[in-house]
Amino acid sequence: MSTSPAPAGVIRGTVRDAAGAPVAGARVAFADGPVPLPDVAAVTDGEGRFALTAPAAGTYTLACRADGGTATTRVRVAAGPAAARPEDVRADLRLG
Amino acid sequence: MPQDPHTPVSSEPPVGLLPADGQPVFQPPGTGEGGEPAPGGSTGTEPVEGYELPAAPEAADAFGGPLPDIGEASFGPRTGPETVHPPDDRVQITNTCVYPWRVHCFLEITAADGSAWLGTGWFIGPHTIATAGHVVFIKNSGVPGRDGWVRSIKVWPGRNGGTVCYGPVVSTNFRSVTGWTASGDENYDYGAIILPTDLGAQTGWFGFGVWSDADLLQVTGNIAGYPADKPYATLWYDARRVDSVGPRKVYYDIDTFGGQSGSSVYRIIGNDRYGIAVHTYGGARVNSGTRITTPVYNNFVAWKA
Repeated sequence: MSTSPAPAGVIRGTVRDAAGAPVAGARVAFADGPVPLPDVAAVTDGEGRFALTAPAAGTYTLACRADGGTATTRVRVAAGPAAARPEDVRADLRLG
Repeated sequence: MPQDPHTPVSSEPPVGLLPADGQPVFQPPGTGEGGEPAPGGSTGTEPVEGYELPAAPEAADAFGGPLPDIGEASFGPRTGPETVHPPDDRVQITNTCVYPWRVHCFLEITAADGSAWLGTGWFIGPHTIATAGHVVFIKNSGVPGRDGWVRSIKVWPGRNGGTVCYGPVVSTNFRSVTGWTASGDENYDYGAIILPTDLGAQTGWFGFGVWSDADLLQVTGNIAGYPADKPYATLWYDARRVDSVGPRKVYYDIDTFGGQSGSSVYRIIGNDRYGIAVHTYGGARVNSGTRITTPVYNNFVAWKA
């Protein structure tokens, strides 16, 4: 049985509307990534924040949907030393 | 305890994953209360208006077409980006209050750290909903306080946006296996939600079973779930022939998106629906789910009791 390694990074961000206000209840999920990814979706908190786990180094595309529109963004998670604390990577989204 | 690297292995298939006599083993579905269930379509798909199963590519002999990388033999089909593979032919289901659609559940998940997530599950019995292991137990998130059993899941059977057919019911009672909770191994990524009521007696449930590799490779896989790239809490359906199988995984080019983890990958025999896998991961060319092998089957039987 193979044991999954520690994640490469945690992608943290905030979803904002066109006016720049944080959006609660927006859905954020991976649309693209360097490895197979769990098909779950995060829901932003009251301040529009989310945190997704990047299991491996590479480039990820995040897609977001809320009542106020949709947004996508790409972010790169760098390879880090094994067993190190996963790196936090920023990925903010602006609904359009 | 770490495994001894000198543990002997064999080229024979893993013992105990499939019935020894090669015959399928399955649990029957139940259609719940009221009305006649929709019949299955002639192509192994649901008879959904606006949906047509794409024509299968022409069969070729072993060396007659584009050859996959040898790595696929060990690691499965190429994986990576894009869980929705063009053309995106998902169709929305709006009559979600009837069988079989009401079997699928929209899940609002609250993790141990209070963060909110979306997923999908499907009834396998009156009070038991099958889903992904990572829906009920978060592993290796890298976020302090998040890992472990989720705090609660709000279950909405057959929800269609603002239309609520049943529930919601909140559960804090979950099941999974150590292959997932201790090791985080995607081959063991499955679990269940135990409801405090027998709501499934109203909605009905899907059967599930263990079939051979040869049988599954002839099957059309169906998935209905709640993708987050669509309007909130709406149910979407797609189907394709199973692409390939591994000892503990099933691979398919059925379009999915975040929010559909835990969906049933099911086959239709006559008018009966049977789960063959639990959808878990999105990949580049194909998506994948945890195959219902004999151990998975036995746990599902125990969890639906």
